[in-house]
Amino acid sequence: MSAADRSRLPSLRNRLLAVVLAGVAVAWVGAAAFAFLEARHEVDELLDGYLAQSAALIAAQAAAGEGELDVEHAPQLHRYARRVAFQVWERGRVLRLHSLNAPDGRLSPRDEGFDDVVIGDVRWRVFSSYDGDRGILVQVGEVRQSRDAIAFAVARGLAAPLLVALPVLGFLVWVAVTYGLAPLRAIGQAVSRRDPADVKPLAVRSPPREVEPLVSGLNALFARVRASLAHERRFTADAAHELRTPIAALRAQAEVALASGESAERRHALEGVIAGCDRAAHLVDQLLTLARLDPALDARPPGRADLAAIAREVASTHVQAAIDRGLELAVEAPASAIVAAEPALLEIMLRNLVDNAVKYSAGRGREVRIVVGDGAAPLLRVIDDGPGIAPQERARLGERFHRPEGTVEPGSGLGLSIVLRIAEICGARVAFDASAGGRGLCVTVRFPAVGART
Amino acid sequence: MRLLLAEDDALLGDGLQAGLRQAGFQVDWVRDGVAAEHALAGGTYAALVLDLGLPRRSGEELLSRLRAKGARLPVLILTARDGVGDRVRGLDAGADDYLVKPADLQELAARLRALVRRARGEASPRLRAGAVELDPATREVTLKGARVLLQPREFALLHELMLNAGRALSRQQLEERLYAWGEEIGSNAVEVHVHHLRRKLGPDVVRTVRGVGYLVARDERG
Repeated sequence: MSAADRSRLPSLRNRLLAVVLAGVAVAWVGAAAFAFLEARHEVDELLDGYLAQSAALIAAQAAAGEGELDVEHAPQLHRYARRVAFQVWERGRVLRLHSLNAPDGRLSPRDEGFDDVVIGDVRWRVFSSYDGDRGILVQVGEVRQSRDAIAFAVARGLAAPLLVALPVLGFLVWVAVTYGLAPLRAIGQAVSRRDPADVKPLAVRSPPREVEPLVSGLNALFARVRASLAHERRFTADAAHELRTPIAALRAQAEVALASGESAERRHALEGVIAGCDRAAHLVDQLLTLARLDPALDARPPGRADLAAIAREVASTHVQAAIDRGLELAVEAPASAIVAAEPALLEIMLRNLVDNAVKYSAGRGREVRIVVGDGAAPLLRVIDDGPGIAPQERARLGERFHRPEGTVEPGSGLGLSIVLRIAEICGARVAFDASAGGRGLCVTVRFPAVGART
Repeated sequence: MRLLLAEDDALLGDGLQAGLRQAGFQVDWVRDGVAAEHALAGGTYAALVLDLGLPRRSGEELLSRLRAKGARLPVLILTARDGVGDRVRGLDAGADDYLVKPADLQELAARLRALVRRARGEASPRLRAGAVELDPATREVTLKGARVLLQPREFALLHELMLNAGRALSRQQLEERLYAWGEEIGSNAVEVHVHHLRRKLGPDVVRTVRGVGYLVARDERG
């Protein structure tokens, strides 16, 4: 991936940066808004108190004659000193005293308590107090706007640092995230710098807890790749090694045929060439079968297979080969026996077992039996009454390319490897025993009960 | 020259046996290590062609047992194992040569001839006795430079005698070296072949040592 391509991908750092900054901004603005409301409330309470106090003071002094007071041009002693306007009404109708900045009409229609009114364009907070004994109504008003200015000033004081803090915070978060993501970047570089053939585990010293699953996941993957590569190499080496002998035989036979002056000898050698070709082809087939079985097939969910049907199918195709070798081939199976396995694999397995049994008991036994058992633990048995295999040799059965001593029949030495591999895939166990009569070989494949596999 | 071939693969053994016969060797073929040991104990072989992966007793084991007994028989390992380590192990275990399958039959035969020659301390591949020259590779025999046509068995007899020049070989020894297992040997086959050789090469080349057998005298010049 080029740097340009990579820059189009979503960035963890940018995402973290955006989320953190947005979160901080929202929280901060929220706090400022709350502070504003709270400040306004407190200012209201406080100034309402002063308003009431002012009304009481004015009422107390209202006995003096009527006139106007220029509070507007009184010296302002403090920037928060309030601009108030007041009116003193006699019997509610005659304006006895008022401040110069007070409107002409009543500030508030109410006689008692607080009121919010709009006169002209100006919003007023008005406190009215009526002295029934003297028939004097005092109304003190304050321009609302000045109160809001105080609350705004409080909120602004809180919000203003945000403008400076956000960029600084952004930078700090960027540095922190960059530092925090360093292990990830190191792993990324270590992986991308890697030689494709290098499947050694990643050497990350004490990875952070969050990155550890990634490292161990990668290392587990590397381990699997390593095992599969090693397996592949061994398999290729084994296969090449095993193909050498049939090819050497082919070559020797062909050279003999070429050099021979006798037609009988030449014919024998040419027959040998054909037999050698057949054998090499069979070996290649078996190798391919095994190679296809070898990659991590195990992960595939098993299908359902009917052992009994497969046994009958394989028997029907192998019966001629058995008859040709003077053997009877029999199947003892229930109507059906379901196992959790891929039918095609079971067929390959059984074909190899029957092939072996027919091949190795030819001329030395009478019959080959395929027995299928159903029930809780389904099983498959292939029993011959041929020469069998010595107990000490049985342990090596199934080793790749191992052919037991005294083996004269041509074979790849892979048949039982294939059987064992398929058994492994199906979760089945394979046992080699002598047949009931003590002669011959009995191969038993025990499958897990249907549904037992997880 | 009689060879022992130890090879468990039926088709390859059959082909090698036929091919080596065509190259003028008598070949006994065994298919496992134990049979090879029995054959070596009972017969006289000019060389052993040994597969390493033999059943019952491996080629390596057979070879080390053979060398432990002090046998000087030339041994050529013929195997599918081609690693340098395998070759080194094989040669160090006492093999005289190492060939990887699939080998050219001509090369195999030539290497066997060379092994046999070296084992007898000869440097030249051509054998000389008086006016007679024998080339094991081309299987040609010349008398005073003129080619003489010999039957395969006559050639083999002359070859054995010339390889052992200066040493008398009994009729039985000759039969052993000239005939592989299962080959029918006429009661006076050796005498008949000697007779033919004398007719074709002159009476003095093969001498009779009475009560012992036959001899080709060592050529002092060579």
